[in-house]
Amino acid sequence: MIRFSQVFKRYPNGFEALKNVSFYLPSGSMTFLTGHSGAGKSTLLKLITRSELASNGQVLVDERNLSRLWRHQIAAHRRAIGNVFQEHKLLYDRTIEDNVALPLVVAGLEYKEIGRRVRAALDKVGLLAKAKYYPRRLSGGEQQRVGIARAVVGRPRILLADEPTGNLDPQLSDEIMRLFFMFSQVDVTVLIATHDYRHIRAHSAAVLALKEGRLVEDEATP
Amino acid sequence: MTYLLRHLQVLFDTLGRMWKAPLPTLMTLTMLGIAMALPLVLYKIVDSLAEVAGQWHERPRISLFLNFANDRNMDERAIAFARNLLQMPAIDDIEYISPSAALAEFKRVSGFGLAMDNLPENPLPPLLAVYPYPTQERAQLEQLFAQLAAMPEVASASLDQAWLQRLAAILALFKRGVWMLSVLMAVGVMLIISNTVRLGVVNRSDEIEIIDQIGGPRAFIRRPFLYFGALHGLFGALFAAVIGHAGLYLLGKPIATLAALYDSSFKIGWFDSTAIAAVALSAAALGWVAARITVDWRLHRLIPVAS
Ligand SMILES: Nc1ncnc2c1ncn2[C@@H]1O[C@H](COP(=O)(O)OP(=O)(O)OP(=O)(O)O)[C@@H](O)[C@H]1O
Ligand SMILES: [Mg+2]
Repeated sequence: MIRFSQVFKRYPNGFEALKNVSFYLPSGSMTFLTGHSGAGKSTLLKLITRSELASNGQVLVDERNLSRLWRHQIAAHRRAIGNVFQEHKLLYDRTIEDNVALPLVVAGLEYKEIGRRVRAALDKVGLLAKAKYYPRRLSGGEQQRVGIARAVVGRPRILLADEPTGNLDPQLSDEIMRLFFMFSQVDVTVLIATHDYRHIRAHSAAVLALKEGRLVEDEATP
Repeated sequence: MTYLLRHLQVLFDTLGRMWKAPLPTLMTLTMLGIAMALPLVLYKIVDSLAEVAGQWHERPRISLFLNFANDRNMDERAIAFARNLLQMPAIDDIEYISPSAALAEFKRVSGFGLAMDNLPENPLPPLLAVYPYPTQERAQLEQLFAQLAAMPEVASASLDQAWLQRLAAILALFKRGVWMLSVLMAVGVMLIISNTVRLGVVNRSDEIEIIDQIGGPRAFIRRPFLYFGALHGLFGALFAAVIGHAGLYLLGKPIATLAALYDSSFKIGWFDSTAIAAVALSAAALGWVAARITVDWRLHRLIPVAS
């Protein structure tokens, strides 16, 4: 499903954020991406959404080399991915439900269908009661859950999450992880960047560990 | 169906945004209105003048001053001469204005009555007003004029249309000027709208980046701004119609007074609705194009394709 072969990412300022990274994530797998701050986790996720382009090596999604996509193909590629951003990236002048509806609006779904799916997604993250609120009235953790609802509402085939549980208490964060795990059960490829080793142990999922831009053997998991 | 609904939604959303920021919207629309009202009003004036000039054009007149001023049978001779001229196929009608009739008319119009009474004799020559057929070509008319002027009975001749021709030339010049002004103003309108759209893009750059991140196609991102530009053009034109009407109203009175001095009932009407509709549609199209160029340029920098 997702394949990196000998991927390097050098930013314009010359900094090499990823060095010779290779891995394969099969369809329906759930993987944790770990590493210290600045290790290159967000960079790796951005390569998958084609927000950044590999300087060397290949990033393949569904056997397609992302460096060969046209602009409109990139948009379509991103629509097939649910993305939970490290910074929530919500629209602060729209209600929660409008925020969550955005991927569906972009995809051109029918209104009725949009309403149905948005309610279902908000229900999953426990925010249905606050559908009409504006993001500023929500706590940091609640905003993060809005971002998660927006990522899953389009029933993506790939789900990426960058520190999705950073602002959540243990109980909520366990629930969100269970939600992600359920997605992987229905053949969604899930990749979650996190510092939280509790989850890694709980779900006995595969781990990609980054250290200064290189993949390393993960020492923390038993 | 969903597609149409989506467009309607963007339309109302854009209208709502303009409504929610009434002051900047009003200022921009007023600027656009003034820019478009100027050529509109000038065009209306020139067009009305041209119409009047065209009506006059239909009856050119050749004045022949005859050289039998001191002849006692001058009236008979003049009438006989006129009869002769009427044989010419190009001439429709001739009016004889005797020196006494001309003098009486002159006194009446000029108000120099008493002064004229002191003249020893009537200084005015007998005059034939010759009306050629209105269908005459310009060249034919001039040929006829030359032919008449060369006749021995004619002391001097004038083609009364000469000044009309000058007027027509001046009007043509003004028309050209109005066109040039319109083109300049169209560029101005596009620049104003472009700047407004640019601000809109800057204000919504977060939103644009997010939509780009979740896979919104360019067309989707562009759409509200295209509506924004087109609506500004449309409403700007309507503002221009209002401002222009105010201008015409204010000019109406002095123009009517001026026209009365020239014995004319010349009046400038209002813009007709088709003209306003045409201007509004063109302005909307200009706004759309300006927005399109501006947005593409901005998006190119705001959400570049990583490479
Ligand atoms: N646009 C950029 N230009 C230059 N350097 C960058 C850019 N983005 C990231 N970097 C650098 O690349 C390295 C990896 O960044 P990245 O955001 O991928 O780290 P991370 O693993 O996500 O860290 P964190 O856990 O703090 O989010 C960092 O040292 C960062 O300074
Ligand atoms: Mg990061």
